[in-house]
Amino acid sequence: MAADTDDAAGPALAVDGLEKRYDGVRALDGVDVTLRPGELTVLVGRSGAGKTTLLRCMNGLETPDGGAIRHGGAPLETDDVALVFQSSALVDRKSALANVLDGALGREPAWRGVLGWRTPAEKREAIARLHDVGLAGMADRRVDRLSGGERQRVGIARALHQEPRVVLADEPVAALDPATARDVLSLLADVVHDAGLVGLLSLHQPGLASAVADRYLGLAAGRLVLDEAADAVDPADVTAVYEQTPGGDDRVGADRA
Amino acid sequence: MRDDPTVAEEFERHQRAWRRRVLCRLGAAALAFAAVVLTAHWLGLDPAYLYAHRGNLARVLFDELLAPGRLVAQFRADGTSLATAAAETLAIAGVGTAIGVPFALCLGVLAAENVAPRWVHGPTRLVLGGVRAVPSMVYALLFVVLAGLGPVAGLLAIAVGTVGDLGRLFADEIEEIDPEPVEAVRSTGAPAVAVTSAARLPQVTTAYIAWTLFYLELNVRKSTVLGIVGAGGIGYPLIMGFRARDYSRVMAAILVILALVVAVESVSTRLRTRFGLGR
Repeated sequence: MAADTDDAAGPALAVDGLEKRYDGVRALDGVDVTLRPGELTVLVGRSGAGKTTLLRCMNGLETPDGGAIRHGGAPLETDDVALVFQSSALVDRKSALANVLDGALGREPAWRGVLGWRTPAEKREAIARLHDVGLAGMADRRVDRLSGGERQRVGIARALHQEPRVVLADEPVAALDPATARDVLSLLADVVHDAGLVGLLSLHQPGLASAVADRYLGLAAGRLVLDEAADAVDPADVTAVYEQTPGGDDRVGADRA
Repeated sequence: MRDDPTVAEEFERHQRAWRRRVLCRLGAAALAFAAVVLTAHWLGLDPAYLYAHRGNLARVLFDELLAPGRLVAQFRADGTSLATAAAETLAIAGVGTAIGVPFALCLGVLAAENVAPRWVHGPTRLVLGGVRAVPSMVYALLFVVLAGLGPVAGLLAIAVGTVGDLGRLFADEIEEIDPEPVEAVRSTGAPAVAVTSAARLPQVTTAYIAWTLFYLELNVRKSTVLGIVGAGGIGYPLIMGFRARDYSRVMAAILVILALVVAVESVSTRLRTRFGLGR
């Protein structure tokens, strides 16, 4: 797949024949997909379908056994990809501001990260990120004093401070109540739309996804079984992805097509 | 809704707090540095004096401690008795630890605030603290009065020291466990002792084994010097060498201690890796 789908917002992310095996088990079995900037794609699938493996390969935490991930024609760089974690993965003893500033570590020389040297401009920028995610006045709060939803917002602010081209989220709302989950998801959607990022998040709750998804991808046994725009998708097809038996290779909705 | 600050307001507020914090830390660091320098001076630490007298140490080191010929002769003469003393040290540490661990286990569990009620864990902690406050060397001197000169006094000292230290570590470890499985077992109506054995101890087993192995290691190191007060082991030839200013005898004892400690540490590390105890 070439970068023929680039649009005004920036280059697309092309996943081409991606394969990953763990001890002979195929976690990803030839996944082809192109993700466009400014579009929030929701990845659905049962546990073990390969969602996390796909996200980890895109972030460079795993090395694929085959295939390629290209961003605007070049291999995807790790510092272009920001990750939002299920558990928010903040450093508990540090303030919200310090956690957000950590997002920039990848584009700073190592000695500055070690000394914790930050310019006033960087701090001002990081405080602005916290305001962007709805956490005005919280910069000097220690993150272990924050609620689950606030922590996840700090996680998103940290991801934004990385100035990424791609933002990935693995079950970002699994530990949150439904109302907070909706708020966090719509924040993620706003971020992806406003900054023109490639956005991909895995979700176990299709009900929550419908409010924010621009597009759906479904994985079953390491294969792509669903790839539809949100306004065109049959909700039954999304639910059906979860019915796929491990090893089943039928495309969802193929019998109706 | 609270009154949200603007970015500029919050930035200014943060910068003020940050400057204050940096100044406080710099001040504290300067105070700590000054305190260390002054205290060392009070104790009489004088680098110039030490430098002026470097010849004394060099003479002992190079003429006696590190003289290979004298060392070989020393090992020829003393090898068997040194090996016996090393074996005695190892035995003191092993038996002392073995006697101490069961007591440490009982007292440690009773000293945990999430296991025993306040009127039990409070006094138990106090007892453990009191036991820890006395150095092993002092216990050894006390037990020399009870058991006479020799390894028995040493192993009793090691046992008591192990109870104090390991008891505290065991208590701290069990206080960190996940309370949910404990509540799950308690909700079945199990009696208190059964709750501990079914839900608490399994959570700390590996940590307890790891700490016990670590203490075995530590006790070997401790018991090497107990001989200084007449409580048996390799410490005895060491102190006798110093008293007689027979530095090649001292060096021989130091080398045997080194070999013993390294051997015990490597065995214990291997055991811990083997059983998947990553401490």
